[in-house]
This record gives sequence, C-alpha cells and structure tokens, in this order.
Amino acid sequence: MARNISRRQFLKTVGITAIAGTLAACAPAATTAPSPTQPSGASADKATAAPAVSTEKISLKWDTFRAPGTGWNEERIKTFTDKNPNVSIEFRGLTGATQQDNYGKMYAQFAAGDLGDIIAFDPSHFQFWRAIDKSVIAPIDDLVKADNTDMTQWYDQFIALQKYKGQMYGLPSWGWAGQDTIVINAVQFKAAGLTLPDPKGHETSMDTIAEWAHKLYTKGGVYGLGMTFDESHLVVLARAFNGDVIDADGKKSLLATDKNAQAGLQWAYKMAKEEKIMPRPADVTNMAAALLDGKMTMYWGGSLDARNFKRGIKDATKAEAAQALLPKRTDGKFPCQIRGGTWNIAKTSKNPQMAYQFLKHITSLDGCIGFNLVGGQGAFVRPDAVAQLIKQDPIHEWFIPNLQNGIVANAPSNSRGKEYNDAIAAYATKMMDPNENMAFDKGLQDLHDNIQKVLDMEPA
Amino acid sequence: MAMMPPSTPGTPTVAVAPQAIIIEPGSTSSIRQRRTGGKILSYALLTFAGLFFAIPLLWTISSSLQTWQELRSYVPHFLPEMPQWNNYIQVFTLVPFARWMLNSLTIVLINIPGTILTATLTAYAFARFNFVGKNVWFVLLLSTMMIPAIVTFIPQYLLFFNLKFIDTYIPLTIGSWLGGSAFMVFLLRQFIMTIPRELDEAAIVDGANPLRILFSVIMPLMKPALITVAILQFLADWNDFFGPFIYINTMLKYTAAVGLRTFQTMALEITDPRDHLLMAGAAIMTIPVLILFAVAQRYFVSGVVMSGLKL
Amino acid sequence: MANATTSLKVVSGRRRMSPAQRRQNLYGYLFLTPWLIGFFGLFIGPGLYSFYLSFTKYDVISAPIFVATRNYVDMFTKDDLFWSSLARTGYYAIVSVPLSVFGSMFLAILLNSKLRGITIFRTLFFMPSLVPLVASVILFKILLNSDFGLVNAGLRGLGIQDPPGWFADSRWSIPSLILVRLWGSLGGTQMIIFLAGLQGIPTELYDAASIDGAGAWQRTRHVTIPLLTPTIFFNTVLGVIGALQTFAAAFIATEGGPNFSTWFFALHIWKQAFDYFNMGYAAALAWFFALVIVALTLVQMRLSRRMVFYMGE
Repeated sequence: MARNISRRQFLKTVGITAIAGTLAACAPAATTAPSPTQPSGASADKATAAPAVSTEKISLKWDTFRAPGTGWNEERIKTFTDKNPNVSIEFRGLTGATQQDNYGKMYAQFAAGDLGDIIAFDPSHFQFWRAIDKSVIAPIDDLVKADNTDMTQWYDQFIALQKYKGQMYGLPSWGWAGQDTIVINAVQFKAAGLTLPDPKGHETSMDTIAEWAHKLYTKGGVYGLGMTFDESHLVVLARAFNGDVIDADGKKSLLATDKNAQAGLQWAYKMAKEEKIMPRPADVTNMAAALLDGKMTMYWGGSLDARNFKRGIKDATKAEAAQALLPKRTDGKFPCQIRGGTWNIAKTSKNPQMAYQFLKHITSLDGCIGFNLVGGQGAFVRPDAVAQLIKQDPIHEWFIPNLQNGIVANAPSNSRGKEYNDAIAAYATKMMDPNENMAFDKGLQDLHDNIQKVLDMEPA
Repeated sequence: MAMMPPSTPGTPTVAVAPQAIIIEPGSTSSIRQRRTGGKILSYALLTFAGLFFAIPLLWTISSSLQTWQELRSYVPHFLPEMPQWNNYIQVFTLVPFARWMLNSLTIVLINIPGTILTATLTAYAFARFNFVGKNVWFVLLLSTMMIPAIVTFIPQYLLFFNLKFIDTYIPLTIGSWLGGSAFMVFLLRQFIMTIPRELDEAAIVDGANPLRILFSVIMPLMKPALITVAILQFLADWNDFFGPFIYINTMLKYTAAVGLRTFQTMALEITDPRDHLLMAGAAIMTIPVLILFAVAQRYFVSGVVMSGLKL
Repeated sequence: MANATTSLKVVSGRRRMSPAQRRQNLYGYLFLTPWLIGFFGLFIGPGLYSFYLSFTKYDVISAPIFVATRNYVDMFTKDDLFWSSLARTGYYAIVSVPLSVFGSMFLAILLNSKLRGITIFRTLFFMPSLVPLVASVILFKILLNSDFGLVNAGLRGLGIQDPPGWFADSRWSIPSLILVRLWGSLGGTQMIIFLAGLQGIPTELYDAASIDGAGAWQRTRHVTIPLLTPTIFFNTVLGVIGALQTFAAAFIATEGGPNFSTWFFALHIWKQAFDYFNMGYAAALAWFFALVIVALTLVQMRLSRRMVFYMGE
C-alpha cells in the first residue's frame, strides 16, 4: 500500500528542511529544553502552527511507557506549555515489566475511567485494533481536517498504519522497517576474507548469507549468524523467500501451503538444527553484546540494530558496523515488515482539540528528533527527521530504501495479537532449538496449527 | 534457658546444665579429637554453605560497580576494571530513588503499627475467649493462607477502582489494619497462649476489663513476638513488587522495589542498558534491611521460639 | 495447643446462655472485628465476585457476559496448556519443597551449634532472602548464562565438555529456577523457624539419649528429627502452598519458556488474565486451582496425624 515518494519530492523535502534548518540555526536559540544529546543547531519548532489559544484552563494527562526517565516527555511538555500557558499536562509514565504489561494497565485504567487524554496503543503490538473496537481510541479525521495538517510530513506507510476501517486514529510515533537486515561486524567479516556488500543494496542472495554463516563459524569460538524466531523475524524470513506467514486478511496461516515460506524455514532449520551453527535461541538475548565482543559476526536484526551497534562500539579495531539488506523479491518489494507506533487521543478525553495540538507537538520534527536521540526510540517516520539524522550519522541512510518500499505487517483479523505473537515465538523456537528433537515436518505442522488456532479464536 | 543444642555427627555432647553430668564412653583425649574433628566438619559445611550464599551476593556488589559494557560483555568480568562508584550516585540522580525508598518506608511505617495492633487483637480473641463459632472462624482464618492470591486479586482491584483508591497507598496498607496476615495472627496466638492465664485472672480481680488486660498485662510480655511480627512485616513490605506495581501509577509514588524495575525496562527503551544500576539499586535497598536484621536478630529468633512454634 | 472448645449444646427446652458465656461472645467478637471486616471485605467479597466472573466472559473493558460453565469445560477439554502446566507445577513442588524444607532444617541444625562466629554465618545465610526477587533472578540469569556465565566457565574448567544450558534449555530451566529459589530461601524465615523449633527441644531428652549410649547421629535421628516433625510439617504445608503458586521468578526469568518448560499454572492464569484479557476464564482457572491447593493441604493434614509427633500428647 505504500505510495512511492518520488525522488524529487524527497529531495525537495530534504532541501527545504536543510535550508530552513540552517536559517533557524542562525536565529536566536528557540525554546528547546537543555538536553545533553540534542543535535547541535536546534531548530525552531516549525510543525506546530499555534492555533488560536483560548484562555480557559485546560489540563491533560499523558499516559505512556515510551521514554520515561529520559527527559524527552518533560521537554515536550515544557516546550508546549510555554507556548500555551493555559494548558497543564501531567505525564504519567508507565513502567510495566514488559511493554505488553502496560496495555493491561491501560485497559484497567480505561475501565475505571482514569485513562489519560494522550495515550499510545501501538499497531505493531496488535492492541491498536482491539482498542479501537472497544471504543478506547477516538478517530481524529475531523481534527485533522479542521487543522488542515499536512499529512505528507510522514512517510506513507506510517500514516497507513494509523488507519483502520476507513478512519484515522492517531499520528505516527516510532517506526522502522523491522527486521530487515543482517547486521555485520565488518572487522571479523573482512578478516575471514569476505567482501562487504553495499549496505543499501539488495543484491545478496539468501544462499550467499548461508555461505557466509558457514565460513564465519568456528567451532567452539565464534558464531557466524544468530537469530531469534519471534513473529517479527519469522515474517521477514518468509518474505525474503517470496512467501509470507499469514494472509493479508489475517485469517489464514499460509505455512502449510506456501512453498516459499517453507523454503525460508528450511533455510533456517538447516543451520540452526542440523548443522548447529547458530547459537541457542534462549541465549540470543545477548546477541548485540556478542557482536560487540566478537563472539558472533552476523545476526538478523534491523537497520536500527545496525545503528545501535555502531553506537556501542568502543574499540574500532575489534568491531565496525556494517549491514546486508535482504534480496529484492520477485514482486519488486524489499523483505521487511513495517513496524510502528502511534499517539492516540482517548475517546474519553474532554479536550480532544488541545490534545490534538499536543499530538502534533510530539510528532513534529523536533519531537521526532528528540524521540530518537533523547528518548532512544527508533522513530524514522518523517523524511525530514531521517534527513537530519543522516547528517548526525550517515548510517541512517541505510534505513531509507526499506522505509520507502516496505511491506506492512499482516495483522490477525480477530486482533488477538499477543496470542499470535506468543504462538509463533513458542513453536518456531521449539522447531529451531538444537536441543529439541523436532523433525522439520512436525515442527512446521505444529507451528501452522497453532497459528491457525489463534486466528480461529473469537475476536478479543 | 541454658540449652545444649544437638550437635553435628561426630561431636559428642557434654551437657553444661548443672543438673546432669554425662560420662561419655571412651577416653578424654579421643573425645577431644572427635570434638575437634566434629568442629572442623561443622566449619567445613558452614563454609561450603556460606560460599553458596556469598558468591552471588559478592557478584551483586561487583556488578554494581561495573560499567554496563563490562556487565553486558559476553565474557563476564568477576571484578570491575575500575570500581564505578558513580553508579551509586547515578541511581539517585537518574531516578527519584531516594523518594522511592522514602515511599517504601512510609508504607512500612503505616503497616507495622497496623499489624501489631490488629493482629494482636485478633490473636487475643482466639487465644483467650471461647466464643461461639470460634473454631469455624479459626479454620477460615487459616484457609485464607491457602487460597491463591490470584483468586481475589482481580476483584480486589476492581473494588479499589470503584472506591477511587487506585494510585494511593490505601490498597497497600489497608490489609494490615484489618487483621494483618493469617500467619502473623497464628504466630501471635500461639505466643499469647504461652502466657499464663493466672496473670489475666489477677488483673480481673483488680477490676480490669479485657481491653485493659490486653494492653497492660499481655502486650508488655509479647515484646519478642511483636518484634518478630514487625520484622516480618518490614521484609514483606520493603521488597513487595506486585502490590505497588499494580496499584501505583504515578512515578513519584513508586516504591523502591517497583522503581528498581525501571532500570530493567528502561534498558529496552534506550540504547544503554542499565543492569549495573539495577544491581546498585538492589544493593542500596538491601543495606537498611541488613542493618535492621543485624540489630534485631536476637529478638527475631527468640520471638519465634517463645511463641512455642512447636505446634 | 488449642484450647478446648465449649460448644453450646442446644438441647430441647431452650437453655439460656450464661452471662459468662455471653461475655465471652461479646469480647471475642469485639476483638475479632477488624479481622472480620478484612475477611469479608477483602477476601469473601472479592472471592465471591471472582467466582461469579468465572462463569462469564470478561475483558475488563466491556461488561461481563454470562457463559455458564463454558470456562470450566474449556479448561479440561480445549486448553492445551492446562494439564501440562499442572504437571510442571507439580514437578516443581515435588522437587523444591523437600529440598527447601530439609535443606533449611539441615542448615538450622548446623547453625544451632555454639561454634565461634556462628552469628556471622547466620547473618550470611539470611542475607540472600533480603535481596529483592528481581535482582536475584537477573543475577542468576547472568551467572547461569549457558555460553559464558561464571558457573559454566567453572564447569568447563573442571573438564565438563557440555555443561547444562540452565535457563536456556528446557530440561534445565526448572532446576535453574529451583536453584534461585533455594538460594533465596534456604537461610531465610523457614530456617529461623527451624532454629526456633530446635531450641525448643528440651536438653533432658538429649541427656537421656546420651546416657543410653546414643552417638550424635543417633541422637539426631531419634530425638531431634521426631521432635522437629511439627515444624517440618508446618514448613512443608506452607512450602507446598507457596511452591504451587510459584510465579514471579518464572515470569521474570523466562516468561514461561524456553518452550513452555517453565509455564507454571499461576503463570498460565496470569497470561490468560493480563496478556489475553480472558478474565472470566482466568477466574475459573484460579478457582480450580484453589480447590486443588485446599485438597492437598487437607491430605497433608491427614497424613500428619500419623507422622507428626507432638510433645505433651
């Protein structure tokens, strides 16, 4: 569903941003809160065209688990309330054990009538559709129209992610192209005599990657390739072989019939279970560390991981960040799974207009940049933000191809996202675990059956 | 109460109590040998167990003084390259940890008097009065220990919702003022039952009512047991994660146990993991408890003893 | 021991309550009031409500929908993880409770000696129980990392080629959890209770045994342990109840994995309630679970009549 941003459009946006940025940098410092890692040359906040500010006191509540403790939330609040002194915003950070825990809390708050005005039910966590169906989230089409917001600020896919059953329910928060890359430690890669591919190219075939994994593996020493088998990885694996895991409607599992998806699983199964050259699944939480320490040379991650890998490198003689994108598919698309978040307005909010203004404030260019650099999120949802990030670190260019030409996720139609995730993670991992005695066909059948079971459940 | 404890295999017992003199078979020198041998064995076993407990503790300290890269590195470092004392400072500057510890303390200070008062009242009822249906209520009391918390948890949450008690400390403290935990009541009941009734009766003759008896006669004699209850309550509240996690939303109201969690979850959000801070935070949390225990140890053990938990 | 009960026998021809009895009732219930409020308000009330919920489909956001006994039927027939979770939980309890009870008993016996510096050891043993669970679980995850954790590094140093996978291996994940649990509890309150029990054994009995020529081990076997049986029983009952409800460590360490190997029953209930929002179903599971625990406790109490020796009986 992604409409290509034409190169000219893209360059135009980048150009304008660059010029505007330079001009703004010359202007006296704008009201950006002091923060150690703000990019130099802080630009004025262009995206928030201040509406006619009323003088009645408005108080909003902001519930989120994104970025508490980093200072980003407070900065956004301060810069907004400085411009709108009649508004006060209370930030209520959620810190459940995992991201998923927080949703339970939010639903409970909703049931008690205590949900904030500005909230976030991320599509990629599958809570988005459920929350909409349960009337937790308010549609914002009218607000957008009244404000005449320019929707082209963001990449198309991320706007598409905000839509459901014909209406729009939020603005993009974080977003990236998912697990679309093989992250490589270039130092060890080259030491094994291999040539690095173009980090933005799509010429490497899956067979080549397997070959590399073999060449780089030394028994008792270094792993060549590591990967986890959760939903975000499995889908891209299937897509890299021109297949997919579930159909676009989210009703059927394709694994039993799609030969391409099966080929993908075979590819991984061979290396993980038969040849045992991949690290054990449950140990893989340490993959990034393994790469940094030279215990693993490649792992299947996303461009975001490549960027974080680069950031973590202390000793340039031991590690250098590189990546290999997955091969172009026969339908011309690049294997990935657009993943993104959202900022929503609760249906129970008493001040949706002001909430919407704040929404724009946190998703503006400044907000987005801050979200990336201060909040530590991967938020590549705006072309102008990516352009700025490129200036800050050229590695961000590597994200662009897949962002522009990415494939969105297929979501279960009954919005039982957590069950869907859990089923894949459990049964795919079991299948690929070298310690389990799972034959390929049985593993495939189990995986398919359990996915289908989830898809057949009644709607959440 | 001079008692000779049972000794480990290999060590003959020589009673010190004045009323009994034991003559062990065998010569005195072999007794001494066996005693020394037994002592060595005891120390060996103690040391072995001690290592099992101590090594992870030392690891906690060590990891609290490492950098996050060292901690996350694939090959674990037993000792930090350079002790990062700064970690301990960071724990307080990055999050309102001092405030969180104060919050934990607040809850403790509300719960301890509550438990001491109401658990004693309840125990007193069971120990001293023969009211109709007493046994039934006692069984019900004990049964509350058997029902898994998860059965009552969801409705309790909904109850507190409707009363608008969410994000307050009320759900975390109200229980202690309504009888406390069944275990404490049980402990105190046993203890009160070891206090001779004659004392009660003497006070009745003096015209005291049961409440007077409780406060003037019984409770002063309950010191070890009450201290035990206080310590147990403290431990339960200080490390309690689940309660505050569910009921507290505002970050500033967190307790330290829940706040510790933010070091783990923040690692998901930002690029630099914070395991080292989590360890430092855990160390900081453990210190006051240690001090408390070191000081109150005597009372703790004797409190349990004198409650006659011989059942 | 429990006071003898005076139960009022209502014989034909009504018998009026003596003023003394009335007084007992008055004061008894008076002092019981705080607990009664708590019992009904925080226990019975919510308990009944959750019982009602177990017959509904409820997702917190919308109102509960009555579905009669469907949850209970589904539990036994449609839930793949139901029986396996029960089995796993049982396995965990059967292994961890004896280890924990007898382990802390053994330590208590060790600590009960009058060796020099014993207080230091006692404090050291108690310390792990003071460490917050989150920290101790993460601690052990690092220590037991299968590739490069300290423990496996040591094992490899000793020549063991293929050390266990610990948390990463479905065969070793439960033992790993048991290890964490033992570390945090062997020297804890359970041990203190044993210490108390030990110090409650009158010396005369040891003296008598010694006079009869009993060596230290025989004294332990014939005096100490029998007299500790009430304490053992007490700790076992509580231990079983606790072990069956095990949740937090599995949740923090492995979230039920790898491959469902640590998917305990309490975790199953949690998942159904808070990840999948099947509150009604979770309530049904919880009630079934409560029944199991109560039944097991009653069985233990039955067994105790034959196996537990109370002094003064």
